[in-house]
Amino acid sequence: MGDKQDVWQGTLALMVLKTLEAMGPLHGYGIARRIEQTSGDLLAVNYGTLYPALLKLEQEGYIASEWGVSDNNRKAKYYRLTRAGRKQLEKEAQEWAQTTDILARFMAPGEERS
Amino acid sequence: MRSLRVLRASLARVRGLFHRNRRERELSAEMKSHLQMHIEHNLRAGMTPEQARRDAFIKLGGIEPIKESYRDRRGIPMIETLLQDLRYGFRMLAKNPGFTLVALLTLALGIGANTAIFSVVNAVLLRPLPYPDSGRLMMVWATDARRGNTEDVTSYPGFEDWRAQSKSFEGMTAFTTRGATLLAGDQAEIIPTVQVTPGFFELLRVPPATGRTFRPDESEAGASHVAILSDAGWKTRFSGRTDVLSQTVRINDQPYTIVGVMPPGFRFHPERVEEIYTPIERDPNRGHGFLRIVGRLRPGVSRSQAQVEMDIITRRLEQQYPKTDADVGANVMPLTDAIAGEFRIGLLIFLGVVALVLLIACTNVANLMLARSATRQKELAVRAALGASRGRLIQQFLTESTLLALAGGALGLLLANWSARLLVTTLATHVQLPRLQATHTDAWVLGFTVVVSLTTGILFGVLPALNAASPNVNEGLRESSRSATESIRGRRIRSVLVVMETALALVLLAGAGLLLKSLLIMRSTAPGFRTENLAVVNLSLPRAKYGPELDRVGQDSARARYFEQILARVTALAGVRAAALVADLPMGGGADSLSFHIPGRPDPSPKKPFSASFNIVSAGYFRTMETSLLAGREFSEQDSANTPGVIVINETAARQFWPGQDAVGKQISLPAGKDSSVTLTVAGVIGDVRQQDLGTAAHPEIFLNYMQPGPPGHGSHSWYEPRPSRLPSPPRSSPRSSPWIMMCRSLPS
Repeated sequence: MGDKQDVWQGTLALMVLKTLEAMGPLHGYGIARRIEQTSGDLLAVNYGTLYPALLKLEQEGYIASEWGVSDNNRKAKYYRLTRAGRKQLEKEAQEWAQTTDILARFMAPGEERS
Repeated sequence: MRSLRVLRASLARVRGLFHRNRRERELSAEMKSHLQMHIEHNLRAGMTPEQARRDAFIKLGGIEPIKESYRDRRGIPMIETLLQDLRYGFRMLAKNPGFTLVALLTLALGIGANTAIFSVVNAVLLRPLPYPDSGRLMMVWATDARRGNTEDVTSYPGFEDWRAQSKSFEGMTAFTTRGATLLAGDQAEIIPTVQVTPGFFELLRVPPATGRTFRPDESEAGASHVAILSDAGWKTRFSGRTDVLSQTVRINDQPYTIVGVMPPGFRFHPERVEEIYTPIERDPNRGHGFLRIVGRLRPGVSRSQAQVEMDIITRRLEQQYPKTDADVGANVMPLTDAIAGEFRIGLLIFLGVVALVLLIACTNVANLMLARSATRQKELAVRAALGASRGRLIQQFLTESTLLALAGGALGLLLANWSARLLVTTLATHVQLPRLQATHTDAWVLGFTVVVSLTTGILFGVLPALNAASPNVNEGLRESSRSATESIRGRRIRSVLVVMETALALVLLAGAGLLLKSLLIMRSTAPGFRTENLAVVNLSLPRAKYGPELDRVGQDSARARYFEQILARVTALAGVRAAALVADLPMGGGADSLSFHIPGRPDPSPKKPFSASFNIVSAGYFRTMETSLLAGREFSEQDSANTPGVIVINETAARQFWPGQDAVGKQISLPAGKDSSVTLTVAGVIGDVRQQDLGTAAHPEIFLNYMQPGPPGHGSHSWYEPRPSRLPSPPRSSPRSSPWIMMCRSLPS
């Protein structure tokens, strides 16, 4: 497990929002698992930071939560994306794409610009 | 957008402060369901139950830290800590009821005393006067450099000059106070009244509650008499009836038509609540000061600018009228201060004294807290060992002390509410201090109490907190089994506190001692007469029937007959030993002064003759007062208009005017009219009587006999120089306003 990377600062919120958009309502454990799976098990979600991050998103109004029952008949708190969250996701995804794009141009070998 | 998000999040965090228990339960449930799902997942992946559990717990990485960071995000950590400290503080205080009770009572007394005095100060000094834009209202006193009087009255022409020449004021108006006899049926009563110049109410911008104010022509001589009732007068004399307008009251045996009623809170008499306002008649005598002047500053003009201008004006008038206006200046003072008068200083001193008491209370409670922190060494050591920082421990201690101080403040406020009322009633029996009755707990008093409580809490909490915040963990933990002993440092701080407390108490004691000493000096200073069994009766005879009050009496005047009768009747009363009349009450604060020549001796300076205070008394006055007769005789019934004029002088006068000689038989002459004079012979010398007050040394004083004719024009202003009384008592210089006073000596009971 030691070679796994922690989630980068500031990107956890985006990953949570994206996961909820893709999966629909999901509980905290599910979100963590999903993020790890999506990363191809290259990322390790620190649960200690996940729950406060969920709380923060909820306080900001991007996600909402309610208690529900899981597939295994277990009580769990389900988080879902709100309309504001969907908008925020769009905005952040765009910004992220731009950032990676810029970085990619820097990293691309041999393409010198005038 | 961003700010909206921050706002929404902040609101959510504020909400997070509440329903703490439900939120805690939810968090625990969420963590639990997380773990169980993880374990189930692990089991499905083929781990043994033991492994599955272990892995889940490791990956979650400690539930408590997660919960802690979750909590920090949920609410507002600072407030959470505060709430936690408060809860803890409450528990600690509840656990030590003895300490809490003593500390609470000490603080309640200290804060309560401060709040009580402050609520009086607030009502009397701080709250704006109930007149629109009252901050610009100034009292413009005259000053008298010769007598060192800075709050003197002004003559009518002087007032007119000031009003016409000053540009700093929007307007000036004048008033004076007088006792007037109100007749109701066959009952006569002397009531406090205020005489005002036209435009008085307009300058103060207070419209009457009903009716109208005075018209300019109503202050002219011979105008029909009109009066305005004060709220108090309306309520006491007319029981607040609505049909008072154009009713008639008899004041000094003259009918006055009521034209208006002033609203409650309007008051100008410095000592008593006036009942009636009447217009002032213009008095052309520049030497007769009797007016107090109120001015309203123009917007943008400061008090000191107005003062500078008034200085220029008074200097100009001094050159113009050297005879009457020499050494006369002006003193511009905020009306609020003028109305509070000499009580201002007294109240502020009182406030200082109770502040000292509070400081002593602070050191006391700090001492108690220090003593208690010795027994809390173990608790503190444990908290320090568990990682509580120094700042955190100080915060905890300060929270506790502030909690204690606020509780003490709340209790003190209750105490103050009650004691301020007591203070007001006690003060009110001695003096009708303006606005005293308006003392109540308002937002300012509440704010004052809160600020004082908080300051107090920090003041007495900071030393114990600093001391406790660096506990010796090793010692503290080891001492667990033994009874706790106090550290050396703790003992040292406590010694410092004890020294401070003693010093403060000494200051208080010295202050109280000084007060007591001046009281004792006053008691041991002989007033010059015996005060026991002495009664004072104010008499005021209507001018219309009996002539001007101090006018030459003459033996067969109606006044003389009236006085003769009343003295005979009073002396005949069972238990009355003697009775006599006097114009100015001894120690009443004021006396007029008399200028005279001594035959065969040059005047002290070409322009200024000899001068002494004077008083007018009836035969038997000194016997009634039991003043010691040092030489000669006192006035007797035989002294009359037909016998040579005699005077009685006091010891100081005898020593000053005839040093080393026997004053009896010596003569003075009073200028009377243009070229004539009256010669009076000293019949007797009496011991000094304090005319001013006990704190002021005796002045030379001359007593005239009320039955003997003074110089012609006695009672007009030709032969005496009026001198206003020491303020704030009403000026006594107007002879028409000064009622006669009867002194009655009863037998010892």
